[in-house]
Amino acid sequence: MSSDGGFPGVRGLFKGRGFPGTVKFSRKGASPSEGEEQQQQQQPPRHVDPRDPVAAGIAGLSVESRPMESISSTSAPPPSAASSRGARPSSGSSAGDASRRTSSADEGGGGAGGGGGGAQQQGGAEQQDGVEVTQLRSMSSTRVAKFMRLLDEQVVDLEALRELSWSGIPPSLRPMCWRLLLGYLPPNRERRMQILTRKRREYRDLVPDYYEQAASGLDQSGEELGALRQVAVDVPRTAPGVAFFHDPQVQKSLERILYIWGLRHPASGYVQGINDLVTPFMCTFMGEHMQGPLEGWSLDGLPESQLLDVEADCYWCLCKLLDGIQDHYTYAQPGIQRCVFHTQELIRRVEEPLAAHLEAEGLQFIQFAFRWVNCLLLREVPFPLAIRLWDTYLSEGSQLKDFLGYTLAAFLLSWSSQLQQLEFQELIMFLQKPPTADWCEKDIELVLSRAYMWRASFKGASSHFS
Amino acid sequence: MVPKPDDDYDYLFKVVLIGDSGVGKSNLLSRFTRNEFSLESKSTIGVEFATRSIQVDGKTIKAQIWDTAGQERYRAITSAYYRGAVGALLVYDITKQTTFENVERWLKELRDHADANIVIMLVGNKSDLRHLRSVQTEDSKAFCEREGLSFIETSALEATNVEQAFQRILTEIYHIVSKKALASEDGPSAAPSSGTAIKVTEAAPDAKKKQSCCSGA
Ligand SMILES: Nc1nc2c(ncn2[C@@H]2O[C@H](COP(=O)(O)OP(=O)(O)OP(=O)(O)O)[C@@H](O)[C@H]2O)c(=O)[nH]1
Ligand SMILES: [Mg+2]
Repeated sequence: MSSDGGFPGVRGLFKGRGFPGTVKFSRKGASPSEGEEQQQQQQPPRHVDPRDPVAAGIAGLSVESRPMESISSTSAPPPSAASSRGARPSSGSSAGDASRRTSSADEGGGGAGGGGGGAQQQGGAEQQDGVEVTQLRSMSSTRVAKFMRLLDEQVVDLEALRELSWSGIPPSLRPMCWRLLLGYLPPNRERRMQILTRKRREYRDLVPDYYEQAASGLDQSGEELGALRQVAVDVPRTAPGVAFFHDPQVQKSLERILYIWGLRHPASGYVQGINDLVTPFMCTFMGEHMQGPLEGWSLDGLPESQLLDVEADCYWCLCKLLDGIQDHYTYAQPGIQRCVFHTQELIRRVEEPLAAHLEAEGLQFIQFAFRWVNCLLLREVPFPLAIRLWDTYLSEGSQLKDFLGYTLAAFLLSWSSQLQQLEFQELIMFLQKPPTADWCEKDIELVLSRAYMWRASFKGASSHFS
Repeated sequence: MVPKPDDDYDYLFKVVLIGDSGVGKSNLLSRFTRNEFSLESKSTIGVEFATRSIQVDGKTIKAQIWDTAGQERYRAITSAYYRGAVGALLVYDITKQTTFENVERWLKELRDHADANIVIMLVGNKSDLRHLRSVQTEDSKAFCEREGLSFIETSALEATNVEQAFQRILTEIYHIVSKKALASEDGPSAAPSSGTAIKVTEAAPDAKKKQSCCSGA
């Protein structure tokens, strides 16, 4: 397989040639002739350096802001609507998860939640003045310390880790936390290294068994060939806005991961969009070997064995993630359909006027929310925020499937009043490219905490959703 | 709601873009609707939607185009969008023989899920990759004659024939629809009964708001 994924020779053609209209290239050096309009693909303007502890601390703040409070400071979910339908009020101590997380957020030291609410309509404000930033830093170190304490235990308390990670993980600790949350590594410290070594070796053994055979063209079935072709078509189109993913070695890794995953999961096989789901893992695990911000990463000088270790970690973590949502990718994708339906039901309950408007316009949820589920919203937010989303998803563990519907509903309601002004066609254009380009972590966290709150309030009243 | 001036049209046609993954459907669409091409566009998940209006015989024709995902797995989802479509651009990649071989299967998809009288045009895309061509123009032409399809080769990259492809299929649809409107009664499904030649698409809820163009005319 050529690394430019089945489009051999295309790039060479651009030298010294001009093309009409806008031609977008995401790779430096592949530009067409001078004077051609050229656009860098959407680089998120507000980039949170995943390795910068200060930025991480900022992420940490809105995290600590308590779900309930940031909600009540926005207009969003009318509590009356919930209770009038007989749902339990979420603030009560009976609401299991809710109270637990609320109280854990409390000890983080208080009062910083104020900046949280309502920011999302202004596209993520940079309203931190000096005072607030100082607070952020101190909170961030408290937070890091809490993580450290947990991770230092002989046997990590996974429940506690889930609770803490749900609100965002400090970047330096993220790789370890994700491995633990996914059950890729055991909570027991002593066994960890041994298992990691074993899993990585196991993956290396899969490569010749599955991939190399097929790639060399030896006795593969038509189906395998088709799978390999599909993967090859998608790899170069993966996270086109992130330069790192254009590195030929990274693309090779991606290709192997996806192809092997597909062959080993014949119930679904590789499905387009799964390529997107690997990217947060790739960045996080590769980050352990890289310096500086993502834009500047280079694989030069990285020993092959380390690259393979990263690849193995990505592979196993992808397996774990997808194990919980396999029916999203099997025939007719029933898991996605259910999730979209769940989202629609939720909107009906928490924001009836929007539901009514969409229906009157003839817009079906499946028309816009299908991709949201298929790629777990990853395509709908700037790339760095996807990593933040993953913190919460992975903390949800087996509950992720259920949580997704709430997340999608909360995401949609980010624009409720705007949407109610639009007609069918405008609606669909808007929703297939929701305006999140200048979102920051705070915006995504508002979505997550709303989702969290709704789940807490609908718990028990929601049996008919399943 | 007052219709916006740029949204006035005489006819609204729903068209689908189908064909194997990677043949360039999304780029044909972005070239036609926004004059954009992207070397590393993301794969289409499910469907994507765009519109553009063109003039035919002094009439404004608005095309509502649904770009579908090419992978087999998505077919259960995407075939729902064939309903009500009056045109289909079936795209293959002239450098990939298999994408041409699969055209038969796509035709069957259309026969199974689309209206019987849908207008189909076969599109051989990536004509700029001359040195990599593996599907000969003659073969495609012969195939289209047999199957009664129209045919065109395009390059979304160089913007060759993209405009023409859409223009041709929309004109063809327009002629059929307007003829049917004249012949009134005996036109089957796509022909409107009252001589108001508009409601060609069912998945176009906004059509009901633009009745001015039909009932008024
Ligand atoms: N050289 C050349 N490349 C093209 C042309 N059209 C598309 N491509 C490239 O082919 C690849 C796939 O194009 P897409 O438009 O994403 O293909 P698609 O048919 O929409 O694929 P799916 O969404 O997976 O079904 C991209 O890398 C495009 O840049 C063309 O006319 N010439
Ligand atoms: Mg596409």
